[in-house]
Amino acid sequence: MKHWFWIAIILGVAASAQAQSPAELLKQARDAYDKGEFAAAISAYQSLLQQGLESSELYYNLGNAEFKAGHIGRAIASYRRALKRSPEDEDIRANLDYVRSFVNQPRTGTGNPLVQLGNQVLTWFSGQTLAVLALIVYWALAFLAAWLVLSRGGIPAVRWVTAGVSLVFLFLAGWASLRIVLDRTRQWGVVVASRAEARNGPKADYQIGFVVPEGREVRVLGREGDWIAIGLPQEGYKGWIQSSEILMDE
Amino acid sequence: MEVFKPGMTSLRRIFFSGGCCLCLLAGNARAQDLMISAQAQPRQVMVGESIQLVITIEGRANLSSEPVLPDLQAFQVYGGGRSSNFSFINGQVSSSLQFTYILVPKHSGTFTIGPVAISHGGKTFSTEPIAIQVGSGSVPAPQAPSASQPQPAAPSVGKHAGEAVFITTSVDRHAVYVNEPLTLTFRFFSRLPVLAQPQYGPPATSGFWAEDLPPQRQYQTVINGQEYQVIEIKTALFPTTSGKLTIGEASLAVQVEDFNRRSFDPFADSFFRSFFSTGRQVTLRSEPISIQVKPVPLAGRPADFSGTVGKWSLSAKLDRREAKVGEAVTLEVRIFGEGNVKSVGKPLLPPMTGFKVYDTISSSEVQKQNGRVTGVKTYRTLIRPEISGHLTLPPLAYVYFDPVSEKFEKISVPGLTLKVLPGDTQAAAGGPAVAPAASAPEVQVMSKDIRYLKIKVPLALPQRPVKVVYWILGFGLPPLALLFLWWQQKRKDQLAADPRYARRLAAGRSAHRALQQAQQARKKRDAKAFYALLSQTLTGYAADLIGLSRSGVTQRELLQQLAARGIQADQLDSLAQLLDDCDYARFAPGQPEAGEMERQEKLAEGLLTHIRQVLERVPRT
Repeated sequence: MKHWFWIAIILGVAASAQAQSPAELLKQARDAYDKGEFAAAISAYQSLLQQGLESSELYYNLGNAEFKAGHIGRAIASYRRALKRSPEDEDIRANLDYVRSFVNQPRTGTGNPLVQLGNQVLTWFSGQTLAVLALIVYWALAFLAAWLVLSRGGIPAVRWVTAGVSLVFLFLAGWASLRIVLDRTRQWGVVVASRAEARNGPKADYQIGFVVPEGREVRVLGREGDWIAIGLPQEGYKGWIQSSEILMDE
Repeated sequence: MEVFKPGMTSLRRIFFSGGCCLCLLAGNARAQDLMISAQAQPRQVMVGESIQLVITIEGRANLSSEPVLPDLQAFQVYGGGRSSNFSFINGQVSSSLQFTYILVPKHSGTFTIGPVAISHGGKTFSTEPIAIQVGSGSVPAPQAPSASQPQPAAPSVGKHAGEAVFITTSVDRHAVYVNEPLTLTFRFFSRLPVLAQPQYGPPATSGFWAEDLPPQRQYQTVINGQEYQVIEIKTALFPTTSGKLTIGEASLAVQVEDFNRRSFDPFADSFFRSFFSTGRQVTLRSEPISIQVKPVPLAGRPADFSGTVGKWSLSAKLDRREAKVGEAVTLEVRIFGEGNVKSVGKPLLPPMTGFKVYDTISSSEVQKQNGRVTGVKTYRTLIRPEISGHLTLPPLAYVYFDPVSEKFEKISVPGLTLKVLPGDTQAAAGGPAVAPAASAPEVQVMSKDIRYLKIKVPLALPQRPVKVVYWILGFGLPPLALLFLWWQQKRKDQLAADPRYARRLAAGRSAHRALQQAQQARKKRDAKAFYALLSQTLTGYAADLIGLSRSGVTQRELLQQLAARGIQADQLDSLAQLLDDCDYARFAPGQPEAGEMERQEKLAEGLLTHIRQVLERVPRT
């Protein structure tokens, strides 16, 4: 009888935890964050993600809680995921830049401000968003072309407008293609272990080639079982670390 | 049994005989910007025991020169290490250098370590002398075991048993973790007098970080009933990588008495024999040793593992309890214990809200006593409070791997509190002076932190990628539609340019429509309309296909044209008959029978089909 009582209690607690709505979990996370209970805030945000829900704001808040809990690597990974969903969000960029200042990481890209701006602009929108924009412009272009066919050439102004829309479409299509290609060929991740030992092969038997500090953003080059091949483009190093030591962009 | 024998080679002088005791004394010299001090510990030792002499030079200058040691003939001197610290506080450089020496007294008595001097800026600074008392009593093991103490166990000599001179190398363990120390022991065995200073070639220790473990020992031992003099040198080795590593062979070039001569002169006095002997040079070599080095286990490795191996403790302190906003404060984190001090990794500092954190500098101090390598690694970080109040630094934690327990150990220190008083405006700005506008107040940065949480957090299921079929439709439909539009337009243009062709194309449709109307008229029993439509259908269809005017063509002309295009005569007769019947029925009084009208309608359909089949074979004119 006593056993049944405890089983009922445990099931009741589990059911109540499962029954928490997303709104309740968000409130719980924010309250915990305000009290300085960052581990509890992280747990609540993770529960939402485990329910299959997500947004750039959720990843941003999770990044804040991770940073306050001292998990610099996990904070950077969360901000990167948030930025991927809302590349235009200035808050995410500000916090990401601030947290990156705690990591000894060489500056990416060249010092040329135009190149840096280009890199930034390239990541403003996701590949799919750009593709949808390109499709909308493409349909507009098709209607203009149909009008030109039906009107047997139309008026010069319409022809100029059609040419302009064509250029816009080509620009968007090129941008979307470049972004999609980069997304598929250049995957990045963040080291979340305090000191990830990169070995010369995907096994613990291989020698340690170099050691990567927590928070360092690395290129993901491949996977072999539980080992991830990483690259440090600035230094020109390549090595293998355990998959538990890295969080990849999603 | 060990006997003190003065006059032996330098390698053999460092041990033997009884001891006494001595003291620690410190002396220092202070100048305006330089201070040198010396410390010796312990002050009372036995002969053969070691004394640690530490020379510390501190000042506001960039120090680089080494101190000049006084005459230390009464001691065997070993270099123990050097550590340095540099710090920049309030724009001033402050440095300190520490030199550590190990002194092993050769004789008993009272000795003085003379002033240690250093030259700087044209001046010479020196320490006070330090008195050391060396006892002549029995020498404690392991430095020099006395007769009253147990003899060290005879080392294993293996295949060398019976040889007059030989060397061995051995390790205390053959399987270790990365960075776990192992002790390499080199021994030189001789039962012949050594005639000159032996030349020691240490083994190659590639893959290891080596630390010598002074002092070297000398003692006597008996192997297979024969008495040997033994010189023993120990080295601590720290493997830096995992896998199978090899300690190379050690070598010793030594000149010993040529014992062949001894066999021919059995009555010669051994002293004179030694004195006049030129001896012979032999080079001794030891066997290489394999070491299996295990990596630090991955299982159970915490995410914040520092990579350090050994047995360590942690302490942290601030150099002051109170500071003003903008003033520099030094956070000193010390990791001390046993292991490879130089490989101790940097502790991960947690985010320090309210502070600006500058670079961290480190220094290490290595101590070697009783065959163990211990020491302390100090990390000093300059921090600058940016807001006033009681600020608390978060607790510090450090995770290392203990190879003895084979577990990851976490050591931590609680948070440190600093009372921060308000500073002047410039300091509060937390950076270089910025000239404010003449009267307008400037924005003051009081603290720096991440931005707050997003209050509105919309949640949605992950955005799924758009299916490929939609992309194909989205991008494929417009060109197809445009193509169709273009084709329509082109066809329209073609029809407009060739009216006969247009009539020919439309002939079938208009004939079909007219026939349907005729059928309706028949059903309404409207004979006049029925025959009129039937006549128009036959005439119009044939005229459209041939290209004649519908209104102007006569029956005769039409029949001639059809005959010319291959319509069979019987069909022409039927057509002529049907057209005559239509005219008659339209204008004659009376109502024809329903069956007759239906028969004529079917006849018309048959004629139309025949005309279409024949004329479609005929090329257009």
